[in-house]
Amino acid sequence: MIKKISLAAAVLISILTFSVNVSARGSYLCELYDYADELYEDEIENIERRLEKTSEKTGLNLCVVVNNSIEGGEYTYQDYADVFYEENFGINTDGICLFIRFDPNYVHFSTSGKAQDYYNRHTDSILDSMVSDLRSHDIEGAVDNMCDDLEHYYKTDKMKWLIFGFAGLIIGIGIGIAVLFIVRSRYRKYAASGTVRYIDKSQTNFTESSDVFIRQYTSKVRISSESSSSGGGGSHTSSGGGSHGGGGRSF
Amino acid sequence: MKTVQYKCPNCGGELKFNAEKQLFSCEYCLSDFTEEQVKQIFKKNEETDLSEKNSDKAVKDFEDHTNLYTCPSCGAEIMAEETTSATFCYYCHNPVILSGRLSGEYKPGRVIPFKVTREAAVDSFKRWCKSKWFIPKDFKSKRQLEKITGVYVPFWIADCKTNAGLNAVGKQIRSWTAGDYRYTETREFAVSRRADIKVKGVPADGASKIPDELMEAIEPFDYKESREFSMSYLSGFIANKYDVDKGKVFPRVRQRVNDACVSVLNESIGNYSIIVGKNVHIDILSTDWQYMLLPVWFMTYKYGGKMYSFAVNAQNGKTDGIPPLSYPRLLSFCGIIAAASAALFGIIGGLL
Repeated sequence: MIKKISLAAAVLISILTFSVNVSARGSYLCELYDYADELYEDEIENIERRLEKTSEKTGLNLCVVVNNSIEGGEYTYQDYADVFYEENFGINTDGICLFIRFDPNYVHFSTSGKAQDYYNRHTDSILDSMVSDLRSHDIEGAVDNMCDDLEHYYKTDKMKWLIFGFAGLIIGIGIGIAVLFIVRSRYRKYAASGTVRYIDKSQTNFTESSDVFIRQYTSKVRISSESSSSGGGGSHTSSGGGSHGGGGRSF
Repeated sequence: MKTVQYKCPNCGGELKFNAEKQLFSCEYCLSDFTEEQVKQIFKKNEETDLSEKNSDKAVKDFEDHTNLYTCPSCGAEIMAEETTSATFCYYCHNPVILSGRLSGEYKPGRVIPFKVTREAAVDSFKRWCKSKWFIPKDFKSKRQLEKITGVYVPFWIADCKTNAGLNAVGKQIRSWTAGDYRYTETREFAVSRRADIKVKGVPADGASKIPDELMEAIEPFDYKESREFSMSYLSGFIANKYDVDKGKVFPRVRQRVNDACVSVLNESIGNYSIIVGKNVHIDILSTDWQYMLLPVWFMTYKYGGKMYSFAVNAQNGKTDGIPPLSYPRLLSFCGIIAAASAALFGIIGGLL
């Protein structure tokens, strides 16, 4: 409980005191917070521009926060990123928060709202594209790669209906061809005629009917048992109450 | 060639067999006559047709391959096909019976009169069409329905005495599980059956132009309703004499008799999980033949350069045939399925 309050307070103070830039266009927002003074002015401008561009294309809220003062390990970083997003954009809205810290190095990618549908299953891939730049403290390069991935997966997800529709068309064509062959075969046959009706049962006489036992044998087979394991991932609920996805790692 | 027409003794109109009333009716004065009455009135014609002299003449005509006949109503000279025994004059549309063709070896022993009327046959055809979604539109048109014709089809009816035997190995199999093992126990038996089987009334059509499978598809005919042959039954219908003799139909009859005997033997074997190594032998010991005319409502339809046939058993109303397939209709239907499937999957994908 105390931990949660402390975290919320840290986030609020961060926002009020160290906010660098806020830009808004339409219904989505972009924010960049550099509490660790890792970025130069030109890097800040470039990152803001890129975030705006991606935000415009995807319709998502985007924020990047660099803060080396947050301690506590993986779950603290996760919660910090989730709550940071909620404090800036609200609970369960559509967007992303990228949290970066150095020494120890850690990056966390938090998703909210529709961003969970677009990106949760691609989290590892998105983090992979950033890690090598982050190792060399190239935050601009890492954010650039992240934005490329966000735009790419967003487009792919929007194409889902086309991909499914095409798959549906192939399946429909397959069903249509099957119907064609079934109907054709039915339109080529006369009804089968029975012959048993012509048997005169009163004049049917069995002169021999025998069933002679020959032999008996028994076989056995060992039954093998199988075990299966399964794993999975999904969303979680932040201390602020919102549902988030994503993931993080050290680099 | 000698021709016969049965005229109403009251008004001189044409007498036709009425399937609904099962009597001989005059359409003009609405008089009805039983078979006995017709025989009495036209006893002279019947005797003449069955006489040695005309029989010889009919055979001679046949030998000379003369297919010319004179319509007794209008005097027109018409060519008829070799096998035609009863028909209609193309000019005055009166029924004509070519009596010379139904004598000697071509005289049927018995006939089953028409019981299903033309209207009932048309209704039956319409019902049959309803379940066929992909037939061309004009297959059910009024013009097509007018082509339905009542035909007496020549049939060979075979009664066969057979001796059938079967040898096989029957296996009783049961399984159970105990611990980590599944056990299967098999008991084998030498199965032997032998029977004297009488197969009665197997029909085989004696007209080469009518598909055998179509005639088999509209079976059975109830021979108890058959009557001694009289040419008067043919009046108002088409009739053919056979052009496939009993020797040629026998292989088909034998196949059907074999199938019937095998099913009797198989039914006598029970209580086995599987039967292997089956060895069946069937001997046809003797065959008695009858030559009979059976009533069929018949229709042909030409589509895409091919001829399609449809038949109604004119005794019990059973129908069958191979309908023409309209590929444009079928392909449209398949296209709709493909489009609907694509739309459905697209919506599902968009919602995911």
